[in-house]
Amino acid sequence: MQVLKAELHKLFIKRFFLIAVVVLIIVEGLTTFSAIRKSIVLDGPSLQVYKTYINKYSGEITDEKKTEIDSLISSYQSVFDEIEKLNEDYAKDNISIEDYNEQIEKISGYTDAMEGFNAFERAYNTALSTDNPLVDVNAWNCLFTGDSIDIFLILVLILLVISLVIHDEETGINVLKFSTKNGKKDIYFKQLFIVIITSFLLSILVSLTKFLTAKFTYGLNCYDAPIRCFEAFTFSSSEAGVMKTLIVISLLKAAGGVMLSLVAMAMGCLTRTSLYTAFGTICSVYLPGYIFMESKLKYFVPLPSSLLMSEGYFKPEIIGETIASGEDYLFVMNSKVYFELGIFTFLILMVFAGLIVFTYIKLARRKSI
Amino acid sequence: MKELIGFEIKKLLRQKLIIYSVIALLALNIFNIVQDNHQYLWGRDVSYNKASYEVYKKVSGRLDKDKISWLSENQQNLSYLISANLKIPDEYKNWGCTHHELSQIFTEHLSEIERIYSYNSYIKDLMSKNGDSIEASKNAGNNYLVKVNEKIASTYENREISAYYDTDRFSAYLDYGFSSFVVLLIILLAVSSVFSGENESGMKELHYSTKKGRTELSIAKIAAVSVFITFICLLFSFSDFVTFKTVLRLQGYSAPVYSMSAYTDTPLQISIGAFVITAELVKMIGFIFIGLIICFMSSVMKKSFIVFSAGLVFSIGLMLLSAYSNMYLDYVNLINPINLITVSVMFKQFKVINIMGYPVFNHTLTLCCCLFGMLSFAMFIIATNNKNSRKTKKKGGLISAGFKS
Repeated sequence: MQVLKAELHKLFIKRFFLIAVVVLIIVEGLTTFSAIRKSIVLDGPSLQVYKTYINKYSGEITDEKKTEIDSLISSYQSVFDEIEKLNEDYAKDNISIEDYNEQIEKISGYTDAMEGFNAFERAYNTALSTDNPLVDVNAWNCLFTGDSIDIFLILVLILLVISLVIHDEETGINVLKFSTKNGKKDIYFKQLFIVIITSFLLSILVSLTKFLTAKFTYGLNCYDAPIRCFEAFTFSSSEAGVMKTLIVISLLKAAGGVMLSLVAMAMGCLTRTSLYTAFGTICSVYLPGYIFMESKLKYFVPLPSSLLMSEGYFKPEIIGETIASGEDYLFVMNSKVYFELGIFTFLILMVFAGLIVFTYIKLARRKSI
Repeated sequence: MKELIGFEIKKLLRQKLIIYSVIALLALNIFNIVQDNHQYLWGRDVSYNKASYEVYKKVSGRLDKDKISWLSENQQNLSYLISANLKIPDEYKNWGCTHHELSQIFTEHLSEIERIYSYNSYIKDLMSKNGDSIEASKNAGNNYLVKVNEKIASTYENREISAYYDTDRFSAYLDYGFSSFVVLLIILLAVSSVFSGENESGMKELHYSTKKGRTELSIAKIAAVSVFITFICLLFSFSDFVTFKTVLRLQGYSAPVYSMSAYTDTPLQISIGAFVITAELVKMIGFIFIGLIICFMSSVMKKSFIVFSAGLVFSIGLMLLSAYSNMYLDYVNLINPINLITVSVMFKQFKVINIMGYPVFNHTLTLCCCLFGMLSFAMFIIATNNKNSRKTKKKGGLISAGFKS
C-alpha cells in the first residue's frame, strides 16, 4: 500500500500531473463551450424563443401538440402578412410614417423572435417528415464529435505514462529501484494499476466535463430521444436513447484511453525515451484514421484509435452508392452484425492489451535481473 | 562551420529510431497512395479503366478534328445500336468491356473535350466583362478596383487550352495530404530534441564553454535542421511522384496548369510539370518554417517531450487557422506556414490583397511573409541560445551543471 501511495504522490504532486488534469478539464470545458457557441447561429431573443418552444413541445409529436404548433405557425404567419401589408401601405402612402412606426413597434416583439421561431418551425417540419420526436439537437450534436480524436486527452494520457513510468527509465532511477525489495517485487503491477485506473477515470472525467458544460451553458433535454434524431446518426437503425448511447460511447472511449496508455507503456519499455514514446503513440492514434479516412475499417483496426472513435459503431450502415453496388459488404451490414463486429474488435483489443501488459512486465523484470 | 553543420546533420541521422520511423512511414505512405487509388490498378473497375485508358491514348495530345469526329461518331453509333437493340459489331467487342461501358467512356471523353472548348469561350467572356469593369471602375474613380481588373486582364488574357490530357489525375496527386502529415510528424520527432536534447543530456553547458558553442553552433543547428527537412521533403515528394505516376499513369506535364478542372481560375501561367516542381519547393519552404518554429520552441523549453507536444498542438492550431477566412484572419494567415504546405489550395483561386492601394497576389505575399518569418525565427533561435549561454555563465557555467572546477 505504501508503494502505491508513494507512486501516486510522485505522479500527482512531484511531477505536477494534478496541474495537467486541471488544465485538461478547463480546456475541455472551454472547447465544448466554444463549439456550442459556434454551432448555434441564433442569439438574444431569437434563441430564447427557440428554446422556449422546443422545450415546451419536445418529445413525441402528439395530435394535441400538432394542433397547438399549427395554430402558432398560423399566428406567426399572420404577423408576416401584417408586416407585408404595412410595407405595402407605406409604399403607397396610405399611412403616415408615424403610424407605420407605431404599428411596427407593436409587433417588434414578434419580428425579433421571428428567426428563432423559423428555426423551431424547421425542426418541427423535419421531425414530422422523418417521423422522429421533436428534439433540441444543438448541444447534443456538439457532444458527438464524430471521427475527431481529442488531442488534449491523448497528450495528457501520454504525459501520465511518461511521468509515472518512462521518467524513471530516462533518469536511471529504475536501477536504484531494482536494488530495493519492493522495486523487484510488485512495483510494475502497481504502476500498471495506477495507469489503468487513472486513464480510465481521466477519460470519463473528460466526457463528464463536456456533458456538464453542455448542460449548464446551453441546457440538455430529451434524454430518451432515439439517436437517429441527431446529425451524426441520421440513418442509424439503432433504437437506443441518446443518453444511453452517450454513456456507452463514453465507456468505450475510456477503454480506448486505457488502451492508449498501455500502448504508450509498451512503447516506453521498448524505446526508453519520452519523445519516441509520444511519437509512436501519436502515430498509432492518428495514422489509422487518416489511412482509412473514407472507410469504416478505421473503427475496427485493433489499435486505440478505433475505440477513441467509437461513435462509428452506432453510425448508419447505408451509404447510397455502396448499397447500389452491393459489393462493399462492410457498409451494408445490419446493425446487429455491426454491433457484433464492434464487440469482436473490442475483444481483440483486450487480448492485445493483455499481450502489452505481459510484454511490459516481461521487459521490466528482465531489466531488474 | 562546414564541419559543424556536417556533424549536426550526422547527429540527426545517427538516431536509429528516426531512420526506422522514416522508413516505416515511407512504406505506409506508399501503401496509402496505392490503397486510395487502387481502382486504377485492380478492383471491380479494372476492365472499364483499361478500356478508358486505351481510348484516352488514342485521343490525348493536341486536339484536332479527326480525333473529335472519331470520338463523336463512335459515341453516336454505339448509342444508336444500344437504344435500337441491334447487334453490336465486333470492332466494339475488342475493347474488353461491355458496350454500355464503352458508350459511357466515349461520352466521358467527349464531355471533357467539351469542357476544354467551353474554357476557351469562358476566358473570352471574362475578358470582355473585365473590360467593362475597368471602364466602370474608372468612371467611379476607384483606382484600386481599376488596378485589380487590370491585373485580372494581364493574368487571364491569351489563355487557351489546345491539347487534351486527363489532367484531373494530377489534381489527385497535388491534393494528396497524407505525406505532408507524415513529414510534419517526422519533423516534430527529429527537431524537438535539437536544443532541448542537449539540455536533457547535460551537454548544453559544455557547448557554452567552447569557442564555437554559441552563435556558430546555433547557425550550424539551424542549417542542419534545414538540410534534414529538405532531404525528408525530397524523399517523400519523390516517393509520392513515383507512386502516383505508376498508379495513375500521369500524363500531360506540358499542358498549362489551368487545364485541370480544379485550377481553372489559378493565376499561374506555367505548365503542370513546372507547377509540380514549384509546389514541392513551396511546400519545402513551409516545412522549413515549421521546423524553425519547433527549433525555437526547443531552444526555449527544456524537455523534448514538451516541445513535441507543444509543436503538435501548435501545428493543429495553424491548420485550424488556415481553414478559416475573414478580413482579419486573411492578414494573419499570410504568415501561416500551413498555407505553404497546402500549396494546391493557395494557387487554386485568384486572390489579391490590398497593400497600400496596390493589389498583390496572396501567394506572393504569403511566400514573402513566410520567408521573413523564417529569418526572424532563425534570429530568435540564435538570440535565445546566446541569452541562455550568458545566463549559464552568470550562474557559474560548468560548475552549475555539476562539473568540478
